[in-house]
Amino acid sequence: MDKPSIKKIIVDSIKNLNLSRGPDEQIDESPDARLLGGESNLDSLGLVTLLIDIEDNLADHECQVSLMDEKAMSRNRSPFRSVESLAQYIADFIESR
Amino acid sequence: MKVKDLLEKLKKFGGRRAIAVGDRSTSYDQIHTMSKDWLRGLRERGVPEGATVALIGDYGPESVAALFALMENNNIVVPVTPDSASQEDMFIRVAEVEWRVELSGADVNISETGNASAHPLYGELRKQGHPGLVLFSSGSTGEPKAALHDICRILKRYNKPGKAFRTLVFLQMDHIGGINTLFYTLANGGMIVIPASRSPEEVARAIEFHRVELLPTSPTFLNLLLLSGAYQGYALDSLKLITYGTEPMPASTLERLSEVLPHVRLKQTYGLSETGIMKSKSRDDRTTWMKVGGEGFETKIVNGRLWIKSEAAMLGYLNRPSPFDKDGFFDTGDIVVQDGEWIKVLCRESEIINVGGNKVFPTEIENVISSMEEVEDVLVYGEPNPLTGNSITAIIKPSGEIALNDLKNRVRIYCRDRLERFKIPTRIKLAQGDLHSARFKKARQLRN
Repeated sequence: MDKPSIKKIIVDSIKNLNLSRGPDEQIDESPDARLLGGESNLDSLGLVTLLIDIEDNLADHECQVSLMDEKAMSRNRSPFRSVESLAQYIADFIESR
Repeated sequence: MKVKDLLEKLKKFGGRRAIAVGDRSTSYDQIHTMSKDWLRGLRERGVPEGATVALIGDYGPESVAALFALMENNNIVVPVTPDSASQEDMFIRVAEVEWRVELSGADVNISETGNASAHPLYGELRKQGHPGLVLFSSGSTGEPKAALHDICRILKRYNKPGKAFRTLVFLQMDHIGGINTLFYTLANGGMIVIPASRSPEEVARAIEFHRVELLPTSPTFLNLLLLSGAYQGYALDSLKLITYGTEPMPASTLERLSEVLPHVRLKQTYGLSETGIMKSKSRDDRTTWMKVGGEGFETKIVNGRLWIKSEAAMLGYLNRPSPFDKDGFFDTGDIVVQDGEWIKVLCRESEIINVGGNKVFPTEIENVISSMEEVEDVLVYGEPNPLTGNSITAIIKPSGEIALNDLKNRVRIYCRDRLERFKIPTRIKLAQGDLHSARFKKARQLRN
């Protein structure tokens, strides 16, 4: 799977998750959105929910990844900080297999 | 310390800053005056001494002043904060709340509920003329347990002077940890700092702006702080001490914290809403071995489980039999290992899912989800998660054809109105086949 397709899955997952979130909890749906810090509305529970939804939606495309592990958590720059960095992390993950 | 001694202390600290919300702060003098105004207001509205009163509203100078006035009026206070707002009706029923005091922006609304409160435990408090506090925690059959505290017993431990820290508050007044932070800080002339939200960014901003010294929080938040990188964008050099409790601390988080905040001491705390928060001492910054107890507390370990006897313990549950043994010890349900005077908490009882420090009982969530029209059966369990300790998974057998994403949205929207946020399943799966056999097994484990 290429990076633009991964990005689309991430953005689609955000759009779907937004349907069940309140008006003041909406997550930025743009492909260059920040997920953590700055103006982001995501707290830890929101982040876990989103990452799991992305894992599920990737699995629908025959792509099994586990995004939350010690490796991801212990990086100096978190792969979860933006849509871009997350897409890159997933792309690297797929490539390394 | 009695309530009036605490109020005298507020007066004594005078113009010092007591509570800060955002960039604005309120002095001890002001809190004292506001509290006296509140007391007059309560009496004018006819709120009698000893009545059970729900205090509903955001954490801030007004709600703190109202709490002190209710304490001075010897009321039994049932705090309802935005964290627990979805459970207000149940709180009011279980705690037999007679009066509601609701703060909403600048508006105050005081009204009678029409309930009568005749619980025998309330009778004891009223006879002694002491104020009370009702705190709720999750219960294994779905209805949270209501722990009744004598506020005079809680205050007793603040007789001894402590350090006046500028302290960021994470937990609100409906949590024993929040109450502990509030009383300790104000009894010692420290400052309470309330961040605009509990996002890492806002917390870091508040620490920088108010030069916060003490951050009592949970491992989950510390994880998020590290992940977000918010600690890099702000000056956190004022921080002296981070205390963490409520859930097991991952070793990797502790390690990273000591690396990025080398000047900060890290200390584990231990407490339950039933026993109050104990004094604790960590063996060093990088371990979760600790010494608990101190004045007013006794501990014993029976079959690997920690039992606590505490002078600040609750009087009992309003909706459960007394959990104390004949000597007054309380079974924490925590499995611990011991090394001389040091102990380490290994895990909670098996059926509990700990999400970011909040205890969750699967049956409570199953009860809510299974009441949905779209759902035929549901099974809820916890999965380890490096960010929040555990996350909640629900396997659902739908009653008709439905797409997974559609089902997820409906379940989340349905749960949002009925459960606290941390109880809403993060992973939702469609069941392959029947849940009965699996559930039977799980259910049996849960009820033992």
